[in-house]
Amino acid sequence: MTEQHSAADGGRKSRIRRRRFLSGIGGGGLAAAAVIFGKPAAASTNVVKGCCNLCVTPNTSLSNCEALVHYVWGCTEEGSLHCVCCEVGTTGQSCSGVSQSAYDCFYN
Amino acid sequence: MLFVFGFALLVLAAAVVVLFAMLAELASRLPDRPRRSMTIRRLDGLRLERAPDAWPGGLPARDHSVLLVLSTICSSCEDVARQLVSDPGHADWTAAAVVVSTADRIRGAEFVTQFGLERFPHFIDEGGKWVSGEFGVQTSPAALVFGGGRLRSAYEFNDVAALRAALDRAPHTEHEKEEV
Repeated sequence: MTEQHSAADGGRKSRIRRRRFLSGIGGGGLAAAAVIFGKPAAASTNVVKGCCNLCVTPNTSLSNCEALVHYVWGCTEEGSLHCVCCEVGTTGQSCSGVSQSAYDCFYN
Repeated sequence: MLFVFGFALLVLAAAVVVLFAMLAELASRLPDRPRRSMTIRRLDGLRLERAPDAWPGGLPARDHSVLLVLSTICSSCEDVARQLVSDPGHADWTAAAVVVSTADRIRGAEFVTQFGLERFPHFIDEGGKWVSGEFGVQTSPAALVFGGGRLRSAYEFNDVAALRAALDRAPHTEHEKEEV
Protein backbone atom coordinates (compact mmCIF):
# COMPACT_ATOMS: atom_id res chain seq x y z
CA MET A 1 0.00 0.00 0.00
CA THR A 2 2.77 2.41 0.93
CA GLU A 3 4.75 1.41 -2.16
CA GLN A 4 1.69 2.12 -4.38
CA HIS A 5 1.35 5.56 -2.79
CA SER A 6 4.98 6.36 -3.29
CA ALA A 7 4.87 5.20 -6.92
CA ALA A 8 1.82 7.43 -7.58
CA ASP A 9 3.51 10.35 -5.81
CA GLY A 10 6.60 9.82 -7.90
CA GLY A 11 4.57 9.92 -11.14
CA ARG A 12 2.76 13.08 -10.06
CA LYS A 13 6.01 14.78 -9.09
CA SER A 14 7.54 13.81 -12.41
CA ARG A 15 4.59 15.32 -14.30
CA ILE A 16 4.80 18.52 -12.28
CA ARG A 17 8.54 18.73 -12.89
CA ARG A 18 7.99 18.23 -16.64
CA ARG A 19 5.22 20.84 -16.68
CA ARG A 20 7.39 23.37 -14.88
CA PHE A 21 10.33 22.61 -17.12
CA LEU A 22 8.32 23.06 -20.31
CA SER A 23 6.57 26.18 -19.04
CA GLY A 24 9.99 27.55 -18.13
CA ILE A 25 11.19 26.96 -21.68
CA GLY A 26 8.08 28.61 -23.08
CA GLY A 27 8.38 31.59 -20.78
CA GLY A 28 12.06 31.94 -21.52
CA GLY A 29 11.39 31.84 -25.23
CA LEU A 30 8.75 34.52 -24.97
CA ALA A 31 11.02 36.69 -22.84
CA ALA A 32 13.86 36.25 -25.34
CA ALA A 33 11.56 37.15 -28.23
CA ALA A 34 10.33 40.24 -26.38
CA VAL A 35 13.91 41.35 -25.74
CA ILE A 36 15.04 40.75 -29.32
CA PHE A 37 12.03 42.14 -31.17
CA GLY A 38 11.05 44.83 -28.70
CA LYS A 39 7.81 46.75 -28.95
CA PRO A 40 6.28 47.14 -32.39
CA ALA A 41 6.20 50.65 -33.78
CA ALA A 42 2.82 52.30 -33.71
CA ALA A 43 1.18 51.83 -37.05
CA SER A 44 0.34 54.97 -38.94
CA THR A 45 -3.36 55.44 -39.49
CA ASN A 46 -2.83 57.65 -42.51
CA VAL A 47 -3.68 56.43 -45.98
CA VAL A 48 -1.08 56.87 -48.71
CA LYS A 49 -2.48 57.27 -52.22
CA GLY A 50 0.05 58.23 -54.87
CA CYS A 51 2.13 60.83 -53.04
CA CYS A 52 -0.84 61.94 -50.90
CA ASN A 53 -0.75 61.20 -47.20
CA LEU A 54 -4.42 61.37 -46.25
CA CYS A 55 -6.02 61.24 -42.80
CA VAL A 56 -8.95 59.13 -43.99
CA THR A 57 -9.56 56.76 -46.86
CA PRO A 58 -10.65 58.73 -49.94
CA ASN A 59 -14.44 58.85 -49.84
CA THR A 60 -15.46 61.63 -52.20
CA SER A 61 -14.52 63.12 -55.54
CA LEU A 62 -11.88 65.81 -55.84
CA SER A 63 -14.44 68.33 -57.10
CA ASN A 64 -16.73 67.63 -54.14
CA CYS A 65 -13.82 67.95 -51.74
CA GLU A 66 -12.73 71.26 -53.22
CA ALA A 67 -16.28 72.61 -52.98
CA LEU A 68 -16.23 72.28 -49.18
CA VAL A 69 -14.03 73.90 -46.54
CA HIS A 70 -10.86 72.11 -47.39
CA TYR A 71 -7.11 71.93 -47.56
CA VAL A 72 -5.85 71.09 -51.02
CA TRP A 73 -2.22 70.73 -51.99
CA GLY A 74 -0.19 69.15 -54.75
CA CYS A 75 2.70 66.72 -54.45
CA THR A 76 5.27 65.11 -56.70
CA GLU A 77 7.17 61.88 -56.42
CA GLU A 78 9.82 60.08 -58.42
CA GLY A 79 10.03 63.00 -60.81
CA SER A 80 6.97 62.11 -62.84
CA LEU A 81 4.07 61.37 -60.49
CA HIS A 82 1.93 64.39 -59.72
CA CYS A 83 -1.06 64.30 -57.37
CA VAL A 84 -3.61 66.71 -55.99
CA CYS A 85 -4.59 65.85 -52.41
CA CYS A 86 -7.67 67.21 -50.63
CA GLU A 87 -9.08 66.91 -47.13
CA VAL A 88 -12.31 68.28 -45.68
CA GLY A 89 -12.88 69.28 -42.09
CA THR A 90 -9.30 69.99 -41.15
CA THR A 91 -10.03 72.53 -38.46
CA GLY A 92 -9.82 70.00 -35.64
CA GLN A 93 -6.72 68.84 -33.84
CA SER A 94 -4.39 66.78 -35.98
CA CYS A 95 -6.33 64.27 -38.13
CA SER A 96 -9.27 64.16 -35.75
CA GLY A 97 -11.35 66.74 -37.61
CA VAL A 98 -10.96 65.23 -41.06
CA SER A 99 -14.15 63.68 -42.40
CA GLN A 100 -13.57 63.38 -46.14
CA SER A 101 -10.65 63.14 -48.50
CA ALA A 102 -9.96 62.83 -52.20
CA TYR A 103 -7.01 62.71 -54.54
CA ASP A 104 -6.16 62.62 -58.20
CA CYS A 105 -2.84 61.60 -59.73
CA PHE A 106 -1.25 61.60 -63.15
CA TYR A 107 2.12 60.85 -64.66
CA ASN A 108 3.97 63.11 -67.07
CA MET B 1 15.54 11.84 -21.67
CA LEU B 2 13.33 14.71 -20.55
CA PHE B 3 16.35 16.93 -20.25
CA VAL B 4 17.55 16.12 -23.77
CA PHE B 5 14.09 16.73 -25.21
CA GLY B 6 13.79 20.04 -23.39
CA PHE B 7 17.24 21.13 -24.43
CA ALA B 8 16.50 20.29 -28.06
CA LEU B 9 13.25 22.25 -27.85
CA LEU B 10 15.05 25.22 -26.32
CA VAL B 11 17.68 25.20 -29.05
CA LEU B 12 14.98 24.97 -31.70
CA ALA B 13 13.01 27.86 -30.19
CA ALA B 14 16.16 29.96 -29.92
CA ALA B 15 17.04 29.19 -33.54
CA VAL B 16 13.60 30.31 -34.71
CA VAL B 17 13.84 33.53 -32.69
CA VAL B 18 17.32 34.28 -34.05
CA LEU B 19 16.16 33.53 -37.60
CA PHE B 20 13.28 35.99 -37.32
CA ALA B 21 15.55 38.58 -35.74
CA MET B 22 17.97 38.23 -38.65
CA LEU B 23 15.15 38.60 -41.16
CA ALA B 24 13.86 41.70 -39.37
CA GLU B 25 17.35 43.22 -39.32
CA LEU B 26 17.79 42.55 -43.02
CA ALA B 27 14.37 44.02 -43.80
CA SER B 28 15.15 47.17 -41.81
CA ARG B 29 18.30 47.71 -43.87
CA LEU B 30 16.50 47.59 -47.17
CA PRO B 31 15.25 50.95 -48.44
CA ASP B 32 11.48 51.43 -48.44
CA ARG B 33 11.55 52.64 -51.99
CA PRO B 34 13.61 51.18 -54.77
CA ARG B 35 15.19 54.55 -55.63
CA ARG B 36 14.11 58.14 -55.20
CA SER B 37 14.16 60.43 -58.19
CA MET B 38 17.21 62.64 -58.64
CA THR B 39 15.34 64.88 -61.05
CA ILE B 40 15.28 68.57 -60.21
CA ARG B 41 12.67 70.34 -62.30
CA ARG B 42 11.91 74.01 -62.50
CA LEU B 43 8.46 75.01 -61.26
CA ASP B 44 6.55 77.08 -63.75
CA GLY B 45 3.80 79.58 -63.21
CA LEU B 46 5.23 81.09 -60.04
CA ARG B 47 5.80 84.74 -59.24
CA LEU B 48 9.52 84.85 -59.87
CA GLU B 49 11.46 88.02 -59.09
CA ARG B 50 8.80 88.93 -56.56
CA ALA B 51 9.82 90.50 -53.26
CA PRO B 52 7.35 89.14 -50.71
CA ASP B 53 5.19 91.60 -48.80
CA ALA B 54 5.63 89.61 -45.58
CA TRP B 55 8.51 87.46 -44.38
CA PRO B 56 7.80 85.11 -41.41
CA GLY B 57 9.98 85.64 -38.37
CA GLY B 58 11.27 82.09 -38.06
CA LEU B 59 12.96 82.11 -41.46
CA PRO B 60 16.52 83.20 -42.31
CA ALA B 61 17.22 86.47 -44.09
CA ARG B 62 15.61 86.64 -47.48
CA ASP B 63 18.83 87.99 -49.05
CA HIS B 64 20.22 84.51 -49.48
CA SER B 65 18.13 81.52 -48.49
CA VAL B 66 16.47 78.39 -49.78
CA LEU B 67 13.01 77.60 -48.47
CA LEU B 68 12.04 73.95 -48.68
CA VAL B 69 8.26 73.77 -48.87
CA LEU B 70 6.92 70.53 -47.41
CA SER B 71 3.32 69.61 -46.71
CA THR B 72 1.74 67.41 -44.08
CA ILE B 73 -0.53 65.93 -46.74
CA CYS B 74 2.38 64.85 -48.93
CA SER B 75 4.00 61.46 -48.36
CA SER B 76 7.07 62.28 -50.47
CA CYS B 77 7.63 65.27 -48.14
CA GLU B 78 8.13 62.84 -45.27
CA ASP B 79 10.97 61.28 -47.22
CA VAL B 80 12.51 64.71 -47.77
CA ALA B 81 12.13 65.51 -44.06
CA ARG B 82 13.97 62.29 -43.20
CA GLN B 83 16.76 63.17 -45.63
CA LEU B 84 17.16 66.60 -44.07
CA VAL B 85 17.66 65.23 -40.59
CA SER B 86 19.25 61.83 -40.82
CA ASP B 87 19.42 60.36 -44.30
CA PRO B 88 22.17 61.59 -44.56
CA GLY B 89 21.32 64.86 -42.81
CA HIS B 90 21.88 68.41 -44.01
CA ALA B 91 22.52 70.36 -40.83
CA ASP B 92 25.45 72.07 -42.57
CA TRP B 93 23.11 73.72 -45.06
CA THR B 94 22.87 77.06 -43.31
CA ALA B 95 20.88 78.77 -46.05
CA ALA B 96 18.07 76.21 -45.82
CA ALA B 97 14.81 76.63 -43.97
CA VAL B 98 11.61 74.63 -43.95
CA VAL B 99 8.10 75.90 -44.64
CA VAL B 100 5.45 73.37 -43.58
CA SER B 101 2.20 73.84 -45.45
CA THR B 102 -0.56 72.25 -43.41
CA ALA B 103 -4.28 72.19 -42.85
CA ASP B 104 -3.95 73.22 -39.22
CA ARG B 105 -1.17 74.49 -37.02
CA ILE B 106 -1.21 71.52 -34.64
CA ARG B 107 -0.69 69.05 -37.43
CA GLY B 108 2.16 71.17 -38.77
CA ALA B 109 3.79 71.25 -35.34
CA GLU B 110 3.42 67.48 -35.10
CA PHE B 111 5.17 67.13 -38.47
CA VAL B 112 8.08 69.30 -37.29
CA THR B 113 8.44 67.30 -34.07
CA GLN B 114 7.97 63.90 -35.67
CA PHE B 115 10.80 64.43 -38.14
CA GLY B 116 13.07 66.51 -35.92
CA LEU B 117 12.88 69.58 -38.13
CA GLU B 118 13.28 71.90 -35.13
CA ARG B 119 16.99 72.07 -35.92
CA PHE B 120 16.18 74.02 -39.09
CA PRO B 121 14.63 77.47 -39.16
CA HIS B 122 11.00 76.72 -39.94
CA PHE B 123 7.62 78.28 -40.42
CA ILE B 124 4.25 76.54 -40.17
CA ASP B 125 2.13 77.90 -42.98
CA GLU B 126 -1.49 77.20 -42.14
CA GLY B 127 -3.42 76.40 -45.29
CA GLY B 128 -0.26 77.11 -47.29
CA LYS B 129 -1.56 80.67 -47.47
CA TRP B 130 1.80 82.39 -47.33
CA VAL B 131 3.62 80.42 -50.03
CA SER B 132 0.59 80.26 -52.29
CA GLY B 133 -0.41 83.88 -51.69
CA GLU B 134 3.05 85.37 -52.11
CA PHE B 135 4.52 83.12 -54.78
CA GLY B 136 1.78 80.88 -56.17
CA VAL B 137 3.34 77.70 -54.78
CA GLN B 138 0.75 74.96 -54.29
CA THR B 139 2.83 71.82 -54.49
CA SER B 140 5.51 70.02 -52.49
CA PRO B 141 8.30 69.17 -52.12
CA ALA B 142 9.43 72.48 -53.57
CA ALA B 143 12.56 74.55 -53.15
CA LEU B 144 12.30 78.35 -53.35
CA VAL B 145 15.60 80.09 -53.94
CA PHE B 146 15.87 83.69 -52.72
CA GLY B 147 18.52 86.24 -53.52
CA GLY B 148 18.52 89.95 -52.89
CA GLY B 149 15.17 89.67 -51.16
CA ARG B 150 13.42 88.22 -54.21
CA LEU B 151 12.30 84.79 -55.33
CA ARG B 152 14.88 83.94 -57.97
CA SER B 153 13.94 80.39 -58.88
CA ALA B 154 11.82 77.45 -57.74
CA TYR B 155 12.15 73.72 -58.21
CA GLU B 156 10.37 70.49 -57.48
CA PHE B 157 12.63 67.79 -56.15
CA ASN B 158 12.72 64.53 -54.19
CA ASP B 159 16.39 64.18 -53.33
CA VAL B 160 17.93 66.84 -51.11
CA ALA B 161 21.54 66.02 -52.01
CA ALA B 162 20.69 66.24 -55.71
CA LEU B 163 18.95 69.57 -55.11
CA ARG B 164 21.97 70.99 -53.30
CA ALA B 165 24.30 69.83 -56.04
CA ALA B 166 22.06 71.38 -58.68
CA LEU B 167 21.80 74.68 -56.83
CA ASP B 168 25.55 74.80 -56.37
CA ARG B 169 26.14 74.68 -60.09
CA ALA B 170 23.07 76.54 -61.40
CA PRO B 171 22.58 80.26 -61.83
CA HIS B 172 19.59 81.23 -59.74
CA THR B 173 17.76 83.34 -62.24
CA GLU B 174 14.59 83.02 -64.18
CA HIS B 175 16.58 82.18 -67.28
CA GLU B 176 17.57 78.73 -66.11
CA LYS B 177 17.22 75.56 -68.03
CA GLU B 178 14.05 73.49 -67.81
CA GLU B 179 15.81 70.80 -65.80
CA VAL B 180 18.88 71.50 -63.75
